[in-house]
Amino acid sequence: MKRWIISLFTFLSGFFYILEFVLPSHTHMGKALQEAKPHVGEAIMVIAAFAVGLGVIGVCRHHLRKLFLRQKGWHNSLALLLSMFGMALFKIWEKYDPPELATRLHDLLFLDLYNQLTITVFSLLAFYVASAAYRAFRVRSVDAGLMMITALVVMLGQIPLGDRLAEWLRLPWTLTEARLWIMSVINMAGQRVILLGAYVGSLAFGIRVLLGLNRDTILEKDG
Amino acid sequence: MKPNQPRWIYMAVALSVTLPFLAKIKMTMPISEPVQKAFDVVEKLAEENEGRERKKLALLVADWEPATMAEIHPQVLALIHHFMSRQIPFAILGFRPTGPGLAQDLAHSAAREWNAEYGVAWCNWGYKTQMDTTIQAMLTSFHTVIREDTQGTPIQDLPMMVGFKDMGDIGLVAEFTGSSGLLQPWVEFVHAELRTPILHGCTGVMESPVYPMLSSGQIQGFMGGLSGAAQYEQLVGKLGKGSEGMAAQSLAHLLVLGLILAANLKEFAAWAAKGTLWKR
Repeated sequence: MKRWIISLFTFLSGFFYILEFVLPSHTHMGKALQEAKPHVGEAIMVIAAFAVGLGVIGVCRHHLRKLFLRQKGWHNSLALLLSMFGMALFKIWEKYDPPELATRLHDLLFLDLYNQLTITVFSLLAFYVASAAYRAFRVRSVDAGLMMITALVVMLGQIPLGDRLAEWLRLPWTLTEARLWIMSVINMAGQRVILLGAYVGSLAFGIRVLLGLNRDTILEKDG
Repeated sequence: MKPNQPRWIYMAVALSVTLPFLAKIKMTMPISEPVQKAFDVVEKLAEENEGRERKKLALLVADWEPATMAEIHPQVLALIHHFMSRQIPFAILGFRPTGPGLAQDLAHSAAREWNAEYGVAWCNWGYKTQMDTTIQAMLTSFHTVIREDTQGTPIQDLPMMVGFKDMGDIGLVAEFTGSSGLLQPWVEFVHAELRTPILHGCTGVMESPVYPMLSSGQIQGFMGGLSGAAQYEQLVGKLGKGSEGMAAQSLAHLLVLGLILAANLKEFAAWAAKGTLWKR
């Protein structure tokens, strides 16, 4: 039963947007669908808000169980729950009754902790990329050689020294121009092929979801 | 010293990215076509706004996270300086929770410099969920989606929003993100329906999927990575973190280049020693 209800709502909500797009706006039906569009949009936003709530409940259930049963990694669960509720609490406190303390605590958690941790983790990439370049970028075939030359031109074209190097080597073009040519000709051709394939795939997937043919795990469980 | 030990590579990377910042060297870049186009789109909007009683807004879509701040912030700051210098009012909106707050900090810092007042020169519509649905709803009934700013002020009470009717009053959408898939909805819904010019700013690694959109005219200009920011700063005439970062980026790229060449020379030497170099 649940499977049918979910399939029906999926079909109706998807079909609504197809009809709204396809039907001319001067027809009676097209006009009605266009007028209904903002309300359908609002309903989707409300459902999405419920989905966020469900997500929070799911996270809490999982991590509270881990915490109370003292399962492996319960420290991490405690940190997660404290961070989640701490951030929410201070933001709500700051919004409705803005004392200096609430703002400071929120800034401490968000600006001084969350932001800095995210930046730190991301900045580690520079070290791994440099190390990986040394270990993995070996010219073992003609293909690998072409890829390396392309990568070097793109990298050098991103920096001011690249053009000075091209000038010194008396190349007929600057490396910025060469990089732009690689990106806007070779890369673009490849990107278009990938995008076209991806969009055809997503269209097929969309039709399967719309018609309830997708073997989704939730639907499968319910039978 | 074994040169293949990661710690030496890590130390070299750390030095190459920190020393140029300490030396505060600002480097200039040749202006590339996509960045020039982005600048021209803003200039065009400023010209269109001249003599107009009700100016068209620019929409600054802040969809980046702190992780990509190093590349995106110099781009956005340069653009905000451009908006303020040309008196283009702009609104901040984001579909990532951290974006609008980060953009607001940049707007505040630029506003102090230009003496630009909140609500007159710029405002913050804040964070919204459900990108596709929200954009579509903004197109059909704007005021039901965007009701108040982040301070709780009804948007029609903001001086820059007086007389604002619908998305047709937005003259430019500037989308900044370090993630994929956030530019397409603006192209699919807003540019396709209203022909609103779209400007895009992204991290260096996210540049490649943007070129087909620029070539087909779906977006009107873009700046990629720190190099794009440095070029835009030059065009605006206000060298900042983008131009400062070019020295660090130059050194780091040269280091990676050197490492690749060193590793390959080492491999060639090993093949030559075994006598297998020409058999490959």
